[in-house]
Amino acid sequence: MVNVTKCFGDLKAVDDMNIKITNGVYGLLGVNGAGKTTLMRMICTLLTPTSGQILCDGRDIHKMEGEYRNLLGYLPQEFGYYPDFSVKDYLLYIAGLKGIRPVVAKKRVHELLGQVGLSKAANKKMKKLSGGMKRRVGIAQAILNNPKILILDEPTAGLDPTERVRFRNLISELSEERIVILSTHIVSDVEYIANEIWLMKDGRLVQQGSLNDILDSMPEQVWMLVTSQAEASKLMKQYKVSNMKTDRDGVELRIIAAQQPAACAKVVQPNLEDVFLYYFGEKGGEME
Amino acid sequence: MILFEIKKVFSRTGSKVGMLVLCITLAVTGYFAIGDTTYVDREGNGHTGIAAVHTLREEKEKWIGVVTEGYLKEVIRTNNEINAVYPYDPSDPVTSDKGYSLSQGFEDIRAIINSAFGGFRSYDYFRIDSVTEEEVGNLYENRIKNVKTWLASDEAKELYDEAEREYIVDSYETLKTPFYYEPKDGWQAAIEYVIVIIMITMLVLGFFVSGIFSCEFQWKADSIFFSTKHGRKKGTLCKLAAGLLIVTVVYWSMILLFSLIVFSVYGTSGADCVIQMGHAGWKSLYHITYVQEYLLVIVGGYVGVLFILLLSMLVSAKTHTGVIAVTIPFIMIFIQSFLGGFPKLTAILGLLPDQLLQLNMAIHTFALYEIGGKVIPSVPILMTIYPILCIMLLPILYQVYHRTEIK
Repeated sequence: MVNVTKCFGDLKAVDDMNIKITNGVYGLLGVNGAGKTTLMRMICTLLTPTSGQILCDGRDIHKMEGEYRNLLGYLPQEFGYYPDFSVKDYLLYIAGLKGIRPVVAKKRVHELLGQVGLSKAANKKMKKLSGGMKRRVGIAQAILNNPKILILDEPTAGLDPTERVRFRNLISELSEERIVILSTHIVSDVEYIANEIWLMKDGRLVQQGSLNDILDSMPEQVWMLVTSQAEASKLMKQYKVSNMKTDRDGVELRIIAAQQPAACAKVVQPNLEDVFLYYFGEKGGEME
Repeated sequence: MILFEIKKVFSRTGSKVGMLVLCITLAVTGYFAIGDTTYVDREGNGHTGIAAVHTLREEKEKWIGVVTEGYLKEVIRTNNEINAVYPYDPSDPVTSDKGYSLSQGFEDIRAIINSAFGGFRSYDYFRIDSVTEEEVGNLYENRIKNVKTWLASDEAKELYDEAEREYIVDSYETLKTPFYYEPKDGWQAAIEYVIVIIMITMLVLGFFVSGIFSCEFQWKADSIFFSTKHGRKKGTLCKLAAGLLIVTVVYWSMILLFSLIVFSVYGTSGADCVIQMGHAGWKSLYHITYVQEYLLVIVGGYVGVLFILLLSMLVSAKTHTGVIAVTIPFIMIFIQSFLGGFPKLTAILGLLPDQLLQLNMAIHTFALYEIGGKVIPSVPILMTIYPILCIMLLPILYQVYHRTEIK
C-alpha cells in the first residue's frame, strides 16, 4: 500500500497508509471507527482510495480487476447470504461468481462442507442455520477459490469456544503460502495465530510488528496488586486498569503505569490486551 | 448463474404472491373478456358465456362480405323491416329486445353507419333508423366529409396546424374502401382486455425485478458479491440477463395464455378487417387490420413494460434499495392523471412510456407530431424511441452496478 488515504467528506478514515504485505497472518486491532473495515474494503476493491495506490506484485489492484479478485477470499464483518438458498446452492453460486467451473465447484463445495463440519446441513436453507453455522458457511465461501489473499473481518464472532479454537487452527493451516489479514475483537485470536500485529487508530497504524515487538513497544510497565475496595476505586481513577478481579482477599488489579502505583504492586509480563489498552486508552473498552 | 439469479427472485414469498396475483388476473380478465358478449334470443332474453359467444358469431357470420353499396342497402332494408315489426319503444323493452335479437347480426355495420351519418364528435345509436337506402352508399364519403367539417372548426384549428390537418385528411382519403366484414368480437375483446393484462403484469413484474440489483444490499451480500472475480462483470451481466428473461418470459406467457383463452372461445375471424370497421377504430388514422392492431398493442406493451422495468432496475441499482424502484411502474401508470391538467404538457404526455401500455388509445386518437417538417403519428415515434432507449439503458445499468462502491 503506497500512501493510501480514504476520505468520506471531511473524515479521513484511512490516512496515508504505507505497508508492505507478504505471506503470513496479520492481525488487525483497533477501536470502532479506527478505519479497519475501510482498509479491508479497499484491499478487497470494494472501495477506491481517495489517493495512493494498492499494488499487487507492482500492479494497481483496481486496474487488475477480476485477475486480482481471483486471488481474493473475503469474509465481511456482516456476512450476508440469500435466506432461501440451501447451503450447497449458496456455495455453488459463490463458486460461479469466483469463476470455478461447475464440475470442480461441486467437488470443492463437498470437500469444504466437510472441512467446516456442515456436510449434514448441505441442503438446509441458509435462514434455518444457527449463527455459528452461518459463520462457518461464510468461512467456506471465503476459501472456496483457495485464495492467495484471505481477508477475514471478525471471523470468530458468534462462534462458541470449541468452534473458535477449531477455526483458529483452520486459519493457521491456511496461512501457509498466502496472506491472511484478520480483524477481530477477540485479542487472544490474534495473539495465537498472527505473525504480525497491526494496531490501528484514527486511520493510521500506530504500531506494527510481531507479538513480542508489540509487547516491547509499550513504554510503560504492567503492575499487579491486591488491595481493598476503597483503594482500588482510587487507583482506577488514577491509572489505566486492564483487569480487575474481586475475591474474598480483596481486589486484584492489573495496572499500566510508568511508576509503581502502590508499594505492594509487582511488575508482571504485559499481554496484548494491556498493550491495546495502553494505545487506545478509554476507548479500549470498545475494541473490536 | 442466471438460474441462481432467477432463483433469488422466485424464492421470495412476495414473488410467490405475485405469481398468484398473475394467475388470478388471467382468470378474471379472461372471464370478463368472454362474459362481455351478450346474445339475445328471439324471445328477447339475454345470454352470456361461451355458448352465447358462439351463437352470436353464427348470427354475425350471415353478414360476412365486402361492405359495398348493395351490402349497405341490404342492412338498411333489413333494419327497416325489423323496425316495422318490432319498433323501438322504451316502455316496452321486451319488444325492443326481440327486435335487437334480429338485428344483432349486423350490429357492427350499424355502428359504422351511425358513425358515418352522425356528427364527427357525436354518436347516435338510432341514427341508422333515419338513413335511407339511397344515401347509405355515401358511407365512405361521409367519413371523409365529417372529418373535413370538423377540421374546419375552431376547436380543430386550435389543436392541429395546417400540415397536420392535411395529414389527417390524406389518411382518410387513402384508406382502402370498401371494407371487408367478418365477426371480429374476439379481436375487439382481446384488444380491450389485454390492456388490463399488460398493466397488472407490469406492476407484478415491478415487484419481481426491482430486487434483482438491490437484494445484494438488502441481504448484506454485497461485499462478497463485489469482491469475487466475476461479481462486477459476469455477475452484473447475469443479473441483467435474469431481469430481461423474467420480464420477457412472464410477459409473453401472460399474453399467450390470455390470447389462448380469448381466441379459443371467440375464434380468430375478423383478423383481416380494417380497424375502421368498428366503432372504436372508425376515426383512426392508421391503415391497419385487427390482427395488426393486436400485435402492435402487445409488442408496444412489451416495449413499454421493458423500458419501465429497466428504469426500475436502474433505480434499484443506483439507490441500493427496491423501495423507490417498485414505485416506478405505479408512477408511470398514474403520470397522465398527475400531469394531464397541464395543457402545455399534452404533446409530451403523448410520448411518455405509459402510452405503450395502452397503444390502442394512441391508435384511435389523432396524436400527431411534426419532426423536420414531416407529420408523424405517435405510434411509430413511440415504437422507435423506446426500443432505442431500452438498448441505451442496458449499458448504463451495467455501468452503474459495475462501479458500485461499498461504503
